[in-house]
Amino acid sequence: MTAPAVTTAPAPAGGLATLRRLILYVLLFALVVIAASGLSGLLERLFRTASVLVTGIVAGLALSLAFTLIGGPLALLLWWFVWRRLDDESERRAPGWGLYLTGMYAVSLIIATTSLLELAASFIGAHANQWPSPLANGLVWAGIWVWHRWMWKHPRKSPAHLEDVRAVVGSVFGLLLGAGAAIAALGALLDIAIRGFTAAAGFEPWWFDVVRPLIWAAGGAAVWWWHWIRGGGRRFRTGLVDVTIITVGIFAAGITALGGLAVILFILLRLAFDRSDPLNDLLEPLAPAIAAAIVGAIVWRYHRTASAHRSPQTRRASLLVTSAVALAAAASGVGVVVNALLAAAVSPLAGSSTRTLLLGGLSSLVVGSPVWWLAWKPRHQPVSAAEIPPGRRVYLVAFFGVSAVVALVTLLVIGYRVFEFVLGDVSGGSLLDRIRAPFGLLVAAGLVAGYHFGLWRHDRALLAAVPSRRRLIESVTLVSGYPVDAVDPAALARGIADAADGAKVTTWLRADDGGAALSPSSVPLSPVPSPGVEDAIRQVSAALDGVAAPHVLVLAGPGSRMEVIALAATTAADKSGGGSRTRAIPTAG
Amino acid sequence: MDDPAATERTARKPDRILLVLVGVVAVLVVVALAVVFTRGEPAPLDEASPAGVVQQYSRAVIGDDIPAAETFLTEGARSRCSGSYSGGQRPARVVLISTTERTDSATVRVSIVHAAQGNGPFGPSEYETEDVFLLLKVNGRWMIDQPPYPLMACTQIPVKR
Repeated sequence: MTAPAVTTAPAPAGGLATLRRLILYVLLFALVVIAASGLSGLLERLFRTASVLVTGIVAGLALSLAFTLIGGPLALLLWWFVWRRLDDESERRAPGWGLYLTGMYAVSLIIATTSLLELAASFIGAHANQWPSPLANGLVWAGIWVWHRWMWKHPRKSPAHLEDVRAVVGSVFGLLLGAGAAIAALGALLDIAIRGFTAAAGFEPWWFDVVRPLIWAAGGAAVWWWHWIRGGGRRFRTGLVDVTIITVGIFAAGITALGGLAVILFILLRLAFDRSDPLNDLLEPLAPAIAAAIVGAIVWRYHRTASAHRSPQTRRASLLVTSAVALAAAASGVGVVVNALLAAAVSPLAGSSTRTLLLGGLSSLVVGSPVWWLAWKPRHQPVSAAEIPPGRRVYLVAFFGVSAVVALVTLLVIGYRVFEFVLGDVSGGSLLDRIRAPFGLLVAAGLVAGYHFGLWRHDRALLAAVPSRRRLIESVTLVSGYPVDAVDPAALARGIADAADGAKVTTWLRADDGGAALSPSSVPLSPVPSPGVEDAIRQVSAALDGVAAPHVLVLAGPGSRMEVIALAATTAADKSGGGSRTRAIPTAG
Repeated sequence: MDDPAATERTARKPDRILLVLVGVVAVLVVVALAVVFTRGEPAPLDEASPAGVVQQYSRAVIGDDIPAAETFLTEGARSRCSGSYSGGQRPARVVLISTTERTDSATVRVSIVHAAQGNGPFGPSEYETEDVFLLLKVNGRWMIDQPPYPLMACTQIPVKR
C-alpha cells in the first residue's frame, strides 16, 4: 500500500550510463591532449622553417602528423557527439561532464598561461630563437582554453556542477604564480639595491632580472583578477572557496610572511652580533626575505579581510590557522634556542658559530610569539562554556596530539643515542652534541603540549559545569505525509535533525496521498490544512522532547497527524518485552 | 556556575600555566644568550694525541689556513690530494666522537656540523654527518693520512683532470 520513495531519488540512471560517460569523457580528454600536442608540434616546425639549415630526423614530424591527423578529427567527432547529447538535461547534470570541463579548463589555462608568459619573458635579454616552442604551445592551448570557456559559459549546456571549482582553480593558480613571481621580481630589485651590481651577471643590463619575473607576476595577477574579481570567484559561498581562502590566503601566505620576517631579523641580528661570514654572503638572503615578507603580508591581509566578511566559521578558522602557524614558528624557535644552549655546552674540536644557531632560534621566537599572542589572545580565554567557540577544542586536541607525536619521536632518538653512549666507546661531549637537536624539539613540544593540555582540561571543566545535553536519539526515520509543495521534506528533515541534537534523519515520502485507508483512526484530514514547515518542526520537536530511544520513527502528516514511535534496538527487544512506546500527539485543528 | 569561587579558580588556572611557560621560555633564552656569548675558543687538547692533531688540522681548515693544515698531512695524503673540498662552505663545527688508538695507526671519529644557509619560519637548520680521520705514526708523530672529504684541504694542483 505504502510504497516508500526516498525524497532525493534520481531518475534511474544506472551504472551503465555512468560507465559510458566515464569512458567517453576520459577518451575525449586524452584525444584533446593528443591533438593539441600534435598541432603545437606542427606549428613549432612551421615557425622554425626559416632558421633550420638541415633537417635529418623525421621521427618528430611523423609523430606530430599522426597526433594531429588522427587525434584531431577523432577529438572533434567525439566532441560533436558529446555536445549533441548535452541537450538532454540529465547529461548536463552528470558529474562526468563537469569533471571533464573542469579538468581540461585547468590544464589548458595553466599550459596556455605559462607558455605565453614564457614567450613574453624570452623577448627580454639575449634569449633569441627561443620563441617558436612557447608560441606554438601558447597558441594551441589558448585556443583550447577559449573553447572550453565558451562551453563553460554556454547558456544551455554548461555543466550543473563544479562551477566554483573552475573559478577556484583559476584564481589559485593565478595567485600562486603572481605572488611567487612578484617575490622574485621584488627580491631581484632589492638585491641590486642592497648588494650592488657585483652579484648581477655582467653581460646583461641589471633590470632584465627584474623585468622577467615582473612579466610573470603581471600574468599571474591578471589570471587571478579574471577568475576571482571579474569572474566572481569571491562571491561563491561554498565550502571549497572558504577552504581555499584559509589554506592559500591565510596558511601559505602566513608562512611566507613569517618566514621572511624571521630571516630579516636573523640577518639583522647577525649583522650586529655575528660577523663570521663575509658581508656579501651575509646579506644574500636579505632581499628575497624582504620581498617574501611584503608580498606574503599583502596576500595574507587581503584574505584576512575577505574572510571577515564571510561566515563566522571562516573568520574563526582563519584566526586559528594564523595562530597555529605563529605558534609553530615560536615553538621551533624555542627548540633551536635549547639546541644552541646545548651546542655551546659541548666543547668542539674546532669551529664555533653556535652564535648563528642561537640568533636563528631567537629570530623565529621573536617573530612567531607576538603574532601568536595577537591571534590566540591567551589573556582572553573563555571563562564560561557558552564562550567556547566551535573548532577550538579540535585545535587544542590537534596541537596536543601533534606535539605528543613529536615528543615521542624525539624521545626515541634520544634513547637511541643514550644507549649508544652507554654501550659503546663514545665520548660524553659527542652524546650531548648528538641529542641537542631532538632535545630542543622535545622541550618545545613539551611546552606546547602542556599549555594545550591545560586549556583542554579547563574547557572540559567548563563544559562539565553546564547541565549535560547528551544525545539520546541517534537516528530518526521520518515518514512525511505532507504535500511536497506545502512542506519541503528536506527542510523538515533538517529541522528535525537540529531538534534532535544532530541525529541522522532518513526521510521517506508517502506514496498514497491520504493515508486514511492505512489508519482510519487518525484525525480526518480534509478540513485540516497542512501546517507550514516551522509548525511541523515545532510539533515534531515537542513530540521528541523526552523520548529516550536510539531510534525514533516519526509519522508526520497529512494534516495534523503527528505520531512519534520510539523503537527499541532489535537485540534488546526481547529483554524489554516488546518495549516500544507509542505516543500519539493530539493536535488542535 | 553555582560556585563563583570554583569558576574563578578554573578561569585563572590557564593564566598560571601561561605564566609558567612564558617564564620557562624567558629563562631559557637568557641562559642561552649568556652561555653562547660568554663562550670562548674550544679548549685545546694534547697536541701529541691523535685527537689533538685532528683538532689543529680542523681548526686550520675551517680558518682557511691551507699551508698550516698541510703540515699535519702525511706525504701520501698530500700526493693523493685532488684539491680542496668544493661543495660549498666549510663546516661550522667539528665535534669529537671517539678515538681508537693502535700502535702505528689511529682512527678518530668526528661529527661534522654544517650550517644550512637560509632560514625558514621554523628556525635555521643544521645537519651533521659522521666521518673518520685515519692517522699514521710517522717518526713518532701522528699525521693525518686520510681526512674526511668535507675537511679536505691542500694546495696541490692535480696533474690531470
